[in-house]
Amino acid sequence: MPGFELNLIVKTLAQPALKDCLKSLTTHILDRGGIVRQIEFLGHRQCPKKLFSNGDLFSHANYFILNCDIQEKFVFELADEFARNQNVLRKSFIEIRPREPVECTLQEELQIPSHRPSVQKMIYQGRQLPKFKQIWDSKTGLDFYPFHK
Amino acid sequence: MSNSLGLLQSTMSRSPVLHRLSLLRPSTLVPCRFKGHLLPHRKPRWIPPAKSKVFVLPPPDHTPESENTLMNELVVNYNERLSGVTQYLYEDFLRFSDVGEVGRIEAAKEAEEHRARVAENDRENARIVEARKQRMAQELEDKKRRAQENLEAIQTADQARIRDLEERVQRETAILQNAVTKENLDAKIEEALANPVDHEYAIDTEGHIYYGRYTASNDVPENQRIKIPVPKNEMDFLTSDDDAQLEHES
Repeated sequence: MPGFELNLIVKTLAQPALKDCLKSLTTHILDRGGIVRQIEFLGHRQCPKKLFSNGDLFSHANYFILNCDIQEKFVFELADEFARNQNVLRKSFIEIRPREPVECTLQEELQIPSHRPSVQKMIYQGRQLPKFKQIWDSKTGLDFYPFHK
Repeated sequence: MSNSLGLLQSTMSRSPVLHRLSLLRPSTLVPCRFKGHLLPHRKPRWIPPAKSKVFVLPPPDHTPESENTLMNELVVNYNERLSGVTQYLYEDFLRFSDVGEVGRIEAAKEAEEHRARVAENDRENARIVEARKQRMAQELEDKKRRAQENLEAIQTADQARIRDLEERVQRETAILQNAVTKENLDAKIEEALANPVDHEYAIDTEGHIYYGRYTASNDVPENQRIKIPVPKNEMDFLTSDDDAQLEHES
């Protein structure tokens, strides 16, 4: 079950209505076997631009982040549910991937060029037989071919 | 009648289809004598001698009696000598062939040598069988040892994996103690709405960081500004996480 960061923008509502809206949204996730780790409220803010939704323009909205684990097969279903909710202006699912381990190659890069693995790979490639036996000769006596389009 | 038969024959000889289909085909017609070119042939047996040659006698033989006798003697002598040579060669063949005396002695020698070689082959085979048995036993031992080693390695890896998983389960369980459930949903939502978080910050060129979306950086007093934590050297930066860097500095 991959982790998702669910960004929600909910329109300006009274506190009880906002609670009910958030409750219904979270219940949708919990009903499908999802785990909601954390609910973060980023505040009631002015939007960077006016958001158009359901035929209205909204200049202010409530911003939420839900850290949750959802089965991948339910992601589209949940997105559909959220899209049907009249109070939700925007929603996006961002998958959280574990950080890839960083391998330190500084010691290799500090070697002299001929000992560097990247350079040795190039030397090996240079010693291979040419891929084509017949190499085209333009017979112009120039280093470049002047008639290319 | 003879004219019409001749016409029919000539027509059929020109048309092979008609010839094949015709029931009137006489049995004497054999189209083999002049088919485009002269073939080796003779007159069919049922055609008698020509009427003009019926009474022609064969020429009489005027060879002298002595000459015939001489020829007969020559032939007889030749046959006798040739049969003599044949008999000699046959006896020679009997003496020196595989079934003759010399052949039998040779065959006995060969059989003796063959038996010796078969015995040697058997001894060699037995030696190889013994060596193979030893080798197979050794290989089986090696295989068992390697299997045991692999098994131990797998068990060790499994144990490590299970230990890691258990640790992860414990860690996740500890984290999920604070997770949102249907029971504490209202409380969690109220808590979240009561405590809005702010992840925003600003930095300046002097290495200060100002947390908060609405913080005015110029209004923060000098002594209250926070320095951005910096790793001490490059290796620390490469080999550690961001959190670890923060801990390192603090």
